[in-house]
Amino acid sequence: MANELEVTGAMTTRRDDATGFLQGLVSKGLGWARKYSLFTYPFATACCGMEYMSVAASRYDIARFGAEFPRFSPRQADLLMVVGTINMKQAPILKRVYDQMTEPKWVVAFGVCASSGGFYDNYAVLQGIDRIIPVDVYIPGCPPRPEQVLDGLMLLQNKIQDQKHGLGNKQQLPQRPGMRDLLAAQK
Amino acid sequence: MDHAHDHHDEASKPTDVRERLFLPELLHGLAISTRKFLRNLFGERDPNPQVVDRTGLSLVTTVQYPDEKPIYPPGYRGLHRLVPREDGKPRCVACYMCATICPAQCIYIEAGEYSDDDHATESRVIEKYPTQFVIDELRCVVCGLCVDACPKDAIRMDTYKHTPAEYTRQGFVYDIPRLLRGPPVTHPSDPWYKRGSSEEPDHVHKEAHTRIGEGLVPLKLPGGHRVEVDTSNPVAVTKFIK
Repeated sequence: MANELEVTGAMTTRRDDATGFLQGLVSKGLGWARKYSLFTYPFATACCGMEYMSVAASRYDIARFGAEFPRFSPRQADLLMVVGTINMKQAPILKRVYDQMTEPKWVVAFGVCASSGGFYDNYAVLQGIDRIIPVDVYIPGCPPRPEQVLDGLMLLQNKIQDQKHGLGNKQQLPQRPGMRDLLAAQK
Repeated sequence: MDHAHDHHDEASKPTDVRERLFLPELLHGLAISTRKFLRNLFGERDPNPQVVDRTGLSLVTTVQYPDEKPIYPPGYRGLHRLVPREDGKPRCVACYMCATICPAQCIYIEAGEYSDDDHATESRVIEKYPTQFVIDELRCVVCGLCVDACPKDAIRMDTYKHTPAEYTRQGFVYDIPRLLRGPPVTHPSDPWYKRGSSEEPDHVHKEAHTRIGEGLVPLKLPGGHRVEVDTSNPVAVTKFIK
């Protein structure tokens, strides 16, 4: 049994109910809008890039899922597709690209190399990008078939729809020094 | 005059007034685009997933994926399956061949042993079976070497299904209940078809290398009844024995 304080904490007024209902409505609408307008940043490093092109081309056409527009600037993207092997030298770059993306953002690990390192179980390869950035959907395959990618994309859309979205991000952004500041500090 | 020279003549030909006016050619191009556009917009679209076989008026090649699923080609290496025996247990004898050859090292096997007083027919001729057979599909590179390496035809990739995407890495860990699927498979060379006692004739030994159609050997099935194999078209046994 919960204690008395927890029970009273769950009580809501009609005003809270109304705002909660409105927030739920807004969240649903934003989720609907966001899941059908994913701007992808294809972080393509290896052979999976070919399969990404196949997904983006007319035969499979991710434009049908509203994700047709690859943005090669992380500032303009909200879906980071990590396509291919990420080695130790590439990992900081990937981390930086992820940090540069603006909220809300999602990550798809495309193919087994990005997801788990694949058969590159050696010192030079990152054993899955989830060691440095959070991953929403993993797509297996070496490389994945376009159908698998579309499966993953639909999973991600379901996830986005179920997430809580709000108007205006009140979150305090972390202060990260830019590369210019780091170079200046070195001098 | 060869073709290349011909083409050169064509390119160096002086343009006529119609081409220099530019406008008629522009309209010609626009007409082609409009015709194709209207054809795709109003034409009947053949939903055949084999795009090259489509016959409809519309030229749109896009596969509407979740509704129309493309047919995977024969020999497509899909999701693994552990092949069951007739009695529903996996054919696998935990020999570690697949786990050894796997370049991604994504197969994990733990072997168990049948006890001597186990009276099941198979258990007297098979010593080992897998207590754990786990494939990490998120590491698998779909090379098919495990299928080639398996001496018992116990692992196959003939499901013609791709591994589905998941939210977590744990979801890609496929154990025996998830892997054991599909129709059961038997071969004449399966050890439980071998002679049960020494009273039977010697040439039953050849069963291990017999294919259906060779003749000579009546096969013994686990149920106790015997199956006569077709002897009409014999295949030389030396074809298989080196």
